[in-house]
Amino acid sequence: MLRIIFKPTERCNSNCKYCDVVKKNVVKDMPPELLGTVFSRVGEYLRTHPGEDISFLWHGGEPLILGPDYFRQARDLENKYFPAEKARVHHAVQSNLTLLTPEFLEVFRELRIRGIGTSYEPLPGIRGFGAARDWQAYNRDLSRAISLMKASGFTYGFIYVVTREALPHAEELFYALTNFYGGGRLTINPVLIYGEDPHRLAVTPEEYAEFLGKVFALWWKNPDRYPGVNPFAHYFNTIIKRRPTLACSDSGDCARSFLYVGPGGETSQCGRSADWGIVSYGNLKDRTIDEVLRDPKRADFEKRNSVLASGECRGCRLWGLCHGGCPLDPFPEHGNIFHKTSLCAATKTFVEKYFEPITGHKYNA
Amino acid sequence: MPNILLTQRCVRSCPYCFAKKHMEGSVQDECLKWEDLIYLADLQEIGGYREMRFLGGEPTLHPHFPDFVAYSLKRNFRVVTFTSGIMSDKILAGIREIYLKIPEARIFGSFLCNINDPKISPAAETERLHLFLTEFGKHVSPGFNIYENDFDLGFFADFINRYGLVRTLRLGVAHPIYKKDNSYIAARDLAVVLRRIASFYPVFSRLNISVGLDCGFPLCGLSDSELGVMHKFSKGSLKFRCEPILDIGPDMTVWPCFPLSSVKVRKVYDFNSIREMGEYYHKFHGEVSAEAGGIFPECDECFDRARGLCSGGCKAHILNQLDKEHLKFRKLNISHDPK
Amino acid sequence: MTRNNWTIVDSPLAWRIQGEPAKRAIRVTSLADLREAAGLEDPEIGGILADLPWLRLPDLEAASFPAKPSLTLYLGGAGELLAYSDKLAALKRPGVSVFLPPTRQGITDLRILSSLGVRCGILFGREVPDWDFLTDLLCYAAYTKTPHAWIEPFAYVHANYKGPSSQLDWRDAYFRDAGRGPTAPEDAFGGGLTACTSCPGWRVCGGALSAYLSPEGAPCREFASALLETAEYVHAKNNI
Repeated sequence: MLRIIFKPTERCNSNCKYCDVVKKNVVKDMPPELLGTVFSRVGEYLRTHPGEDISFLWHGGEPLILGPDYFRQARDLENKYFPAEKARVHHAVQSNLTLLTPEFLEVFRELRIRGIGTSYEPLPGIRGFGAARDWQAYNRDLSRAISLMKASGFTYGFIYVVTREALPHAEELFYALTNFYGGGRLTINPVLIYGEDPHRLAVTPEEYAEFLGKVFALWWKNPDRYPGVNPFAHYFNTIIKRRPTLACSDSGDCARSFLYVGPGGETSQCGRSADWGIVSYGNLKDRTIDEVLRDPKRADFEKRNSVLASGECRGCRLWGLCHGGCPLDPFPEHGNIFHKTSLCAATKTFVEKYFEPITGHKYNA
Repeated sequence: MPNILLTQRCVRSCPYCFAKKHMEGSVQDECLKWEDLIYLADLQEIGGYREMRFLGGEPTLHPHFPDFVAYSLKRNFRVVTFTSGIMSDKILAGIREIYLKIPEARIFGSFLCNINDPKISPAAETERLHLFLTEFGKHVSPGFNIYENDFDLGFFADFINRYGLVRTLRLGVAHPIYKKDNSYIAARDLAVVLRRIASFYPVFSRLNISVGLDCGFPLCGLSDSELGVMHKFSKGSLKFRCEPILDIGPDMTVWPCFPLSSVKVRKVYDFNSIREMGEYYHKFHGEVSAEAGGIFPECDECFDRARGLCSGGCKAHILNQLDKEHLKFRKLNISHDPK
Repeated sequence: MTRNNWTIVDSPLAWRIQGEPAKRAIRVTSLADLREAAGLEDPEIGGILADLPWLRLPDLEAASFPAKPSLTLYLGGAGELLAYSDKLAALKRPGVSVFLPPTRQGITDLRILSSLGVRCGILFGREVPDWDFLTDLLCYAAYTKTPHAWIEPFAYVHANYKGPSSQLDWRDAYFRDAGRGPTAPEDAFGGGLTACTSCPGWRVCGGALSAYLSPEGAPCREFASALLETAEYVHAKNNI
């Protein structure tokens, strides 16, 4: 399935310390004509690839800052460019939810969206409104939105970004996050800092693994009580159930299945590669989606697996769990993608020091 | 059905007391808690047992005794209290209050009263007992514990008639308490005791008073005609058994019976049901019997024991004998009271 | 409507969840008012809440038990069983419930009442609970196989917990001052990492025990965690 990460705006109403959206674009919001171009390209692709579905993730910035009318335009554009195929387009939204209103939910229903991804930070001062980062107002608005979603039959999943400030609070955070997530989806990720780290938020791979390990011990006591908590559920499925369900960063499979579209129509591998300016595949104004997917630069992503498997990752028994990690991870240090992730130590430490001893199950590829 | 010891406190100091030996070294003030009573009631109800048997010490000394009885009755249990009958006016009033509200049919046989020979009892105790029996006599089954060979049962004829007691006299014999030092009837004297009991038959039969034998008597040592007399004396319910009774202490420990009160002591919570408890201790009895048939060497080859007519006497006697033999003792893997 | 020292309170939300009409109740604070309210005929009033913390069950009279749909008694204790045993039949009538404070004696009384078939509940807020005893009572309510009457708020939690997506506030099982609805969760999570939001039992407590938090810590945490475990047990048992 083709996964389109669609960033119609770089604008955001929040001020998060670790935000890596590099606000460099001249075009802040995708204008309506270009939105139409994007949807016409999607229609072309659907007709050229009958039987294939598309995941269309609305991202940002903060996509809701565009207002519900923008999404109504998208609804109308579907009906204009691919009315017969629109059931094969699976819209999703990643939003901070602080701007959510019933009007948004109404148009989301029309776009067949039933769940929204978000993120939550209970620790003070890391994200919030304005220069002062009013985190309490932020979290109240987020909670209000969650209540609205629940009352309207929408589901939600959220991401928690582990920063240095989180490290001493592993147990409290685990319970606060699982109390908040309502049994939906919770994904724990390490903070990714590209370039300067003025707020000293970065965590080492070992620190991240220790944090995960403490939290995993709590999760493992009651996995049924806390379904859908990742990466634990991924590891559980892959190592114990032997039904691999790996995140995109560990799947080794993103070369031809991801496409980023920015507010000016520019394309890249994914959101991070675009934000960090790592690779460009041209603009949808000039190219079709197929042409973007066939860009020669994508071959590097395909080649990476074999380069690592015969090189840095040769003989690693955990290869099947991470495939060298996200291709973009080594870029800040090495300037290219042909190295394993900087989080390798985190995976090794977590699996060997925590997951395997705690569960009694050893990973066997 | 297990016996439930409400408290270790007592008003008497009987020389034969099993419980006293058990209570030595324990917390005398320990009383069964409400939570534990409810737990035991639940356990019994699940097991289909509908009788609560309260023992002690002196169970009426438990601070919540009237409430415990009222509670058990409200849960439709039959309540049997093993009492000395020696109680204060306040406790007597409490019992009176409970039983005034209960239909007669539910009260019959509610008390099992172990009465000591008045000739050797203090006057104050006899006076208190008189008050109790005057009021509740018709609901009282009398009992007597034999701890000397030359005992006298004659006073029961007077007591039963005077107070209208239930006309069946329960007779127990003082057995050794394993690993403790107590007064008891030696195995060789049990037949003497039985014959002496039988000697009261002519008087008691005229008064329509029968006897019930407690556990641990051996069948042998009596002739067939003597057995016939005892059979009639007991109105056909003569049994020569030794089986686990299940005694539960106020601290929720359980043991098979008082003579074996230091053996295989467990917590009630170790078991999922009364039945499981019983099976556990029956298994232990079986292990003892497998080592030695009974209290006499002849028990191993005894035809009556093989046919199930006799259990071979009290297991505490047997364990004492086995103890002396050391070698056989090790096989049984007996665990003592952890305290 | 007020008369004497009566106040009107909202019936527990739990009653409405169970399909009962959203009626109100009269709250009385004296035996005399209870007697008078017991004789009242008003279709808008669903029951009586008798808030009598100085009384015990033996102090009540038969006339205090109205024919009305419900009578909820908030008492200081049950008293001796023998003294109130003649009232048990009336106490076991549908709609009658007895709430006692979570002291050691109160908890013992609640177990007695529940085991005798009297609906009852814990009166939080007035005394500091004996948390260990309370957890013991919770285990009794959840795991005992013999029939026994419900004990609030356990019964509410056990009946309404539906799995990881549940978020309960067991104050819904209690009366509230008129017009005062349940607390919104956004207020709690707006405050970030707190003793409540980081409590393992949050999803069945919802902050209902927050009054017991102190600078020294959260004495209610173990109990709330146990409450969640029993809720999961009951839910699993009912969904096999």
